[in-house]
Amino acid sequence: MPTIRLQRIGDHESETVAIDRVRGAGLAAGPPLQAADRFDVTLRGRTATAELSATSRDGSACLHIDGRVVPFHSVRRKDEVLVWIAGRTFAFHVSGRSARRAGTTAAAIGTHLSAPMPGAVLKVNIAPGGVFAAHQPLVVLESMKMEMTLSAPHAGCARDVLCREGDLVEMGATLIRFEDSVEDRSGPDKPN
Amino acid sequence: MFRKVLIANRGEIAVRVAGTLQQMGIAVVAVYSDPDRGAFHVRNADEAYPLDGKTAAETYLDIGKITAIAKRCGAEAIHPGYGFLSENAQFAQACADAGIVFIGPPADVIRCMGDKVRAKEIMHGAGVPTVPGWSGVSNASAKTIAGEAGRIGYPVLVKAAAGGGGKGMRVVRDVSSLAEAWASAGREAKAAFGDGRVFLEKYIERPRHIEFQVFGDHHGNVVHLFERECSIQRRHQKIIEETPSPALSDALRGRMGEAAVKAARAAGYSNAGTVEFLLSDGGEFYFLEMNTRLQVEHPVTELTTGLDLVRAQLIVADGRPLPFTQDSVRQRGHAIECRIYAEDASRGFLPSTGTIEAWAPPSGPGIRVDAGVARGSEVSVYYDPMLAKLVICDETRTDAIDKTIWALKRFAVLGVTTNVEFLQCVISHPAFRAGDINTAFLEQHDLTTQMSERPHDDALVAACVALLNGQPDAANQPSATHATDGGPWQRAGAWRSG
Repeated sequence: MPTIRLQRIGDHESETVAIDRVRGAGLAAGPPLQAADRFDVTLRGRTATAELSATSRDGSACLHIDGRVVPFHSVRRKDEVLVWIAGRTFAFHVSGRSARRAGTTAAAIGTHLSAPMPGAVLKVNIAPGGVFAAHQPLVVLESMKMEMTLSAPHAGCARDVLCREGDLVEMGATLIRFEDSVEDRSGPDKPN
Repeated sequence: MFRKVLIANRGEIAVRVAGTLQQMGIAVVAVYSDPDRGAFHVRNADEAYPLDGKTAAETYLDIGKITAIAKRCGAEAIHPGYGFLSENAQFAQACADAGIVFIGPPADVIRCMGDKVRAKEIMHGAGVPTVPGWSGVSNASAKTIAGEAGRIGYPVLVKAAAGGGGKGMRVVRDVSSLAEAWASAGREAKAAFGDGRVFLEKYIERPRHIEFQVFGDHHGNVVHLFERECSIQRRHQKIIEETPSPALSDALRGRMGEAAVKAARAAGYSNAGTVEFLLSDGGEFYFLEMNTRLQVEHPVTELTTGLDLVRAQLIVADGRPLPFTQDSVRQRGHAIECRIYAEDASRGFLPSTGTIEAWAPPSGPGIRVDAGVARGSEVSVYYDPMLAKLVICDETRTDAIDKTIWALKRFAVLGVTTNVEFLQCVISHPAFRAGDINTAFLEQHDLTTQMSERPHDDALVAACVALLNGQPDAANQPSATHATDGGPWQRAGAWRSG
């Protein structure tokens, strides 16, 4: 019985879904699932009978779960799967035991300033070693002609400035690395 | 009528304009930047020529390149769409100088109305009500600016003189943030419009944004095509528009329509334009600005009047009289437009980039989707993140809302984050349904919390099926494990098996 653990990107909890193929063309073979395959699916201790009634090369597919018609679209990436279903979209991290926790302490405490969107660096208001106050504007980004000022999350000191005016940066790129805070609350072993 | 027209734009508006041109028997010329080589608007044209470059400034804003292509390929007219060069008087003039018809108002009208300060003066002079403010001067001292802001009274709005679309605009609530807002609005305006001048205006709290579609021709006719309510905005940019406005009585609609026609006449207007008003709680309305182009939200007017505004633009540009009169235009039903943006509403509406990997818009009677992308399209950082417009029409506002919710729930997009779920939250909100809306709606109602609900159980099953479907090694990947027991997941869930 293949069991898959899914963690919604940005969520802390993960869910496990068990799929048990009981009927269908190649029922002994295990995955891959194909159109017209029927199987039992177990989630949170409850089991339902489902059938994959249609699939298409463009990523659209349809499930019947105990008689309910459930159309969906999906896209697979390395260890992620994107699902559109009933007007909502979900990005799941497909994980084994090493479930990654999104928004870890390090980021929350603030060891660095990262780009919240992809774009061009318009202005950098701090030099390496520079001291800043909380809420002081540090970097101005521009994306799709929209200007966004990135301010300091707290008072501190810049250890490294990793961007220059005119740079194109990806979303999530580290722009400024801060000096460790005096209390150093950002130890990796700190429990969440 | 013209035989060949160049569209100096990209995205959904280029596709939409191309459709009407082709229906009228006019050949469509597209232009494209390097990232847009395979773009949807190029595929919908009859001819396409490169603009060689990536940024807007070196492509869709390059007057010389665009007019040269028009000359070379024999286009007799240029449709500018919205944004980019659509409200650029220099461009309209360059077209005129090159003997190409600019599909829009004359250059001097664009120049006057594009200068928000002069536009206000003209409207004030014509007896159209305007918002109190200060025109601003270049190199004004911080002290002068603060003095003027104090005279007007906080909160004030710092606005770009050449502005539009919320760019170069800042709300300032006290003097401490005035200088920074003045400087950054100026920088943003300089980057977006090439003109860094800004001015001050009284900020009217929680107004409604009501605009009137106007149309003029070269024979002295000016007609309004009713209002559009555009109060649902984020970052001063509209995301939902509708007509008729739930706020207007027939009497108020009549007065505002008359003011809109008066404004268009005062401006010496021809072709399609929009007169924007702020409507206060108390029912007073003020001229905000005039947009001298086709608006993004023009389809709601089209669906309720039965007119094709682009066709009318072509007729006027060809020198013929307007194909309708004030007495012949009628509105029927209710239309709502939702702008589908590649952005993450739960993270401050940050733009999202990537490849569109699934694209399945809804369809049906009274459902129109104007899209600028298709499956496989790249959404880059270079241009505006609007992907498409979902436009719904039905008999009553309630019917239109129900149909919009249905359509949004069936609008499948994967690959980039979109605001489709967020739009569902807005449209489904009781206050929206009640018509109780204003430009601060999204600040007053926190809608993003509804979006953080945990995944629908069906989504988890679908994700697993997607992983197992046609992926032979899925079970062997480290991501898929074999169950030992049901321990950690045995809490009762909402998933019902029936």
